[in-house]
Amino acid sequence: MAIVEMKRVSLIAPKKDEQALLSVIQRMSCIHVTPTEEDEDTGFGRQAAPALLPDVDDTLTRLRWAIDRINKYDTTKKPLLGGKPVISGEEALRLVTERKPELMRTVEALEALERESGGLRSRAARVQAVREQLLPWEGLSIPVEEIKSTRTTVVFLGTAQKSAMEALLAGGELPQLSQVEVLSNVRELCCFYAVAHRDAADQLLGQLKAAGYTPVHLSVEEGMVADFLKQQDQELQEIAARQQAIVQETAAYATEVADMKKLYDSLASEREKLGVTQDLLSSRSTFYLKGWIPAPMTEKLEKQIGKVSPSACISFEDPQEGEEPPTLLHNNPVATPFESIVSGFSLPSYTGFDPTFVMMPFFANFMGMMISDAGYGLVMMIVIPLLILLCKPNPGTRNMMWILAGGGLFTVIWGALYNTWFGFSPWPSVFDPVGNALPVMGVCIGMGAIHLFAGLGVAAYMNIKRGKPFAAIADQFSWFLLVLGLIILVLPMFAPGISPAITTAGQWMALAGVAIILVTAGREKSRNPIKRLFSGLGALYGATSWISDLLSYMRLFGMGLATGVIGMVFNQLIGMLTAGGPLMYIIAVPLFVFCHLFNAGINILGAYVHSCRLQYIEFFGKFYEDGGKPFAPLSTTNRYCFIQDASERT
Amino acid sequence: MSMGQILALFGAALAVILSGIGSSKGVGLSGETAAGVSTENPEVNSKLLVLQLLPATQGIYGFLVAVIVLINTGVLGGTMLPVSLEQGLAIVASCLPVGVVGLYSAIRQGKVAAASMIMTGQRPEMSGKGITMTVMVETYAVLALLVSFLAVNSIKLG
Repeated sequence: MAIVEMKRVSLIAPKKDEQALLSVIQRMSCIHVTPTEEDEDTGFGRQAAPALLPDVDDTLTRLRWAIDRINKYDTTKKPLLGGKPVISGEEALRLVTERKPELMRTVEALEALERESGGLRSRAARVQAVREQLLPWEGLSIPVEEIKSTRTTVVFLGTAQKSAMEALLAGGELPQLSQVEVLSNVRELCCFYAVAHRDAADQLLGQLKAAGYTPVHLSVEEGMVADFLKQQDQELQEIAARQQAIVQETAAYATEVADMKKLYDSLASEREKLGVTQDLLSSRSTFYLKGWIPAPMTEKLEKQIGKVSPSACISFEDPQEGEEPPTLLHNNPVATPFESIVSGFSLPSYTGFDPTFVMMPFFANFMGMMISDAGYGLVMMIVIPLLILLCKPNPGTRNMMWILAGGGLFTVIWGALYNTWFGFSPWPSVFDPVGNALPVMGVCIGMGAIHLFAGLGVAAYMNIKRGKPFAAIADQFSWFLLVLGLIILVLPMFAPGISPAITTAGQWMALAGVAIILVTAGREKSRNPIKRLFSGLGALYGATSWISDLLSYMRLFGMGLATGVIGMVFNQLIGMLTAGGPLMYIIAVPLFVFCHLFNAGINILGAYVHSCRLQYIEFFGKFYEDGGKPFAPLSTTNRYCFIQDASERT
Repeated sequence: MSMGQILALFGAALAVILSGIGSSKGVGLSGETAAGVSTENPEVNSKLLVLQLLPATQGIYGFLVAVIVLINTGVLGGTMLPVSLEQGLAIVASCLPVGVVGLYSAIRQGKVAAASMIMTGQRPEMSGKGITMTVMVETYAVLALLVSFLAVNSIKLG
């Protein structure tokens, strides 16, 4: 129902039991270990960081990489909503002690394959680069070693401007004792081979230079370019074949991925324990652990510790002044899923208030008002619990699904009031947002007022609990009077039949509220009554934030309306289709399902986030004290599976 | 076709076009960011899709108002009802809030969504806060939708 009371736990035990004790504590997941301060007098000293730690971290990183590498080849069927397997503590231990060397060999093999693949990739890139450079010279009809000037001839091999070369060849101005052979054109460049007699060489060179001649040096030493290219092609094919084989070899290891995942979690859990040892102090034969434990767990822990290490000494104390224990929320099973919404904002401080239970009905109600289609609500209410039963999703997913199911319940109620069933309105509605919007808007603002007053109520409750009843009257009751009075004053706009006596009462309530605020708002700032009055006036300006807070609840109307009207529009459009004859139903029915799934999806998402916003900004703004640090006990890692003993399963 | 009828259609067009431009821009720019963040951190992809969807609603709101105009003027019924010049102008005026606010808010929302995606990519546990921040912008689109809707519905044709 609230924030769990924490106790300071101190444990001194023989060093030989350290591992066993830490295992118990880890399995019970009940101690948030805090670093112990070194104290010269006690003879306790900080433990050296375990030498194993870098090794374990390295192994974990490699394991993680290997899992990611082969996971995609794993063909075993996975559960739809990702329920994780459960393994026992013994199995975890067996994995670490027995299977680890074998699995790590697999990791090594995978790493070797990856290295080889990387090497092949760079070799292929090199070959490709050479190939690309040589490709224009494929047509060269003589071996490379023969391209050289002789006693009487000079050879030119290179590129020039394509257009200039074409002009040169067509113009017939080449010297007589010369021959130019164009091998290929690469975009704007022309690759050519030219021979000239020594007498004509200078003339030809001049003409070629005018065409932009750049000499080219081929990266082949001897033989025909075409033959060389063929060789290169073959090499590329071999590389590709080997790459293919590497993929297959890698995929063959996929059968081991399940065990690797389990090993990862087992090892990571061991690593957690190692990490914690850095927070411990130790003497020659004992170690000293300090941390926070939820008060209800103390007895159970004491019993378990006694079993493992009878000579261990454990003590529990209340938190001292100035200490900030971590925050752990605990609520009844109905409200528990909604904790994720609170922690999604920020955890309340240890001395604050856990708003989960108070928030729950509002959250589900607002979701219902915004989804506002009874048909969607029914589907959510029925399908989601069935999915939870059948698929056994992970706790996080399950919580989210229960929240949606709860929203579904209220959606049915509000959908029935708005009279929207899958976008149809089968009978006269109680609220008609389309035809007569004003009453619906009134209800939305009214809901908002109740929500905000509940927030004020929580703040007042906290003030009273802390022995400050006067603050509750000055800071909360006053605003309650003022806002409620103002609401009563404007009521006749919505419901004309209200008797003047009630509005007069509202007037006096508002005035009383104003008076209290004027007198008390500055009470902590100054003793000077004039200055206090000014502070009071400043505080009254806060009324504007109340107006914007209240108007913010208009989104309940807007979002609700949007769902209904989009559904209605879909139905009308599909209705036109079905008017075309019975055959059209073949298209219309799937279209109907798709359109409404789309509408439901987009509106459930919208309703969820807007409902969150109303809690975070409007509701929490009235009382919330955040800044709690989460209770993070020493526990097992469950990235891929849960490590749990049969006796612990609940 | 009378001037009033043309104005009514013009109003419906404005609602769809302006908010549609806004949503296209918003969803587009957040989608680009989503693609970028996904290459760095593929695991958060589904969270990014939620963020990318948020600026899409403005376009839907505009579409909604436009269809209401089409229904009220009888276009969807087959024969368009007579619309006076004043009524036509009133319809244009009613369509403006959802169009203009939709245009601007969808783009701004898309930018917040993109920033939230980058945050989510680096700190996936913050995705809830990112979504909340992005939804803050949506408020004004919802208010504009409300006003447009109430105004369009108050124009009685017949």
